Amino acid sequence: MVAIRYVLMLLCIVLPIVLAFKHGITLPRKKYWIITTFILVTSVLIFTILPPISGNFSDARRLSKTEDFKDVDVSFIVSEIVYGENEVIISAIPSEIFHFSHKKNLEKNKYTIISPKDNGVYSINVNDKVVSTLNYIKESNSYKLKKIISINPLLEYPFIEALQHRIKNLNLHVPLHWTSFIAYLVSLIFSIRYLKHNRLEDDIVASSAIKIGLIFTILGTVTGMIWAKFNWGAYWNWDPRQTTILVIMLIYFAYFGLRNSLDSFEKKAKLSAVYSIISFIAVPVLMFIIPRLLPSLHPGGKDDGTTGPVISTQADMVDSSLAFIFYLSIAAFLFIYFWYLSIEIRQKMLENKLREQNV
Amino acid sequence: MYNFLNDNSIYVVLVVALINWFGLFIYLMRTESKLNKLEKQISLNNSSTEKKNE
Repeated sequence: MVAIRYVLMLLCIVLPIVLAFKHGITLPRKKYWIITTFILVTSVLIFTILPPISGNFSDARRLSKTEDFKDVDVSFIVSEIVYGENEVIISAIPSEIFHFSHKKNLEKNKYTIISPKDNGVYSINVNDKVVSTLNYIKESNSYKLKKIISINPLLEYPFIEALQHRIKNLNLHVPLHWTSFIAYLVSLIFSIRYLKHNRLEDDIVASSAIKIGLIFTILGTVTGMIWAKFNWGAYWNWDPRQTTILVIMLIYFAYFGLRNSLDSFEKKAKLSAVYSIISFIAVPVLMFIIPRLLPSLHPGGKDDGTTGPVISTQADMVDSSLAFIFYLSIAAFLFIYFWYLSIEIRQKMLENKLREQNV
Repeated sequence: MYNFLNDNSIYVVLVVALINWFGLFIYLMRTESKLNKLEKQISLNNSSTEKKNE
């Protein structure tokens, strides 16, 4: 079952790239491209914002004891409902969360949930999967239902105490950096092609790829900063990953510095192609290797026990439902990237044509 | 504001999604203005060539 996950991941990364190259990077996008982008982005946004965060009964029990944090959304399956005079008593079993990797050995204990009558418990039926806010009551060894969040949700995201809903940022922050990596790779390919065939078209593609890639890198850094403020306490922490992404940004800002400092088109194209090839050597090292060698705030640092959020050897490092939307999100951002790239290239080509006409 | 966002973490996700959207939108706006300039230049070139032909 792990294989399905990796196949899905590869499909979401490779398919947009293959389609883009097959159709021609410099040509206007076809209608199917625009429709796919629209559907992907919309569905990713909806399935990022809407699904509830659901923990289990032991989370609720553990956190009800602490003073400052008492509410946990728990996912359970209703097995019996008894309507009393003042309150409704529900007996529930923990819901099985679908995992690609393995089936969890769930204890089939029954838990008693007591609910007041006025919070919409009448919409619950037997065998429904319910996500609701529970408080543990020590005296009666039962749970009090405070609020129903969702009944029979399509997707649930895992409950992590430190992250809460912020876990959904994974879908909106990490794919930006993956996309920018692909962008720099595209630039490398076309830089090599320029040096081989000496066509100005390839130079335009290479420089535009870096320009759009930089937009994605900057967006990824800014969204990461917002996330860091709420999880680590400061916008910028000089974490290894933050530092290396800053270095990558500076390298590619310098690329445009180099381009704009030269007047002759031949020289500009040739020098920037060489610079792009050399600077790409640093990108995998800075993006994938150095952050894993140093202790880091990001997952996947030294002594973290995982290989991190980029390529994980552990199948259940990212929860299945989260991973599924995450892969879709990568595909969505790649579709946007190649669309923007074609717009940028066509605009540059027009400028070039005009310049040649005027001369 | 910080406390509100810290307590309601779903709004942090909203802020992040909006930043992504604004970033992509700013790029679209810049391309729009650049294309407008190019179109103007092209129409100027065309009109000048027409005059020459006359």
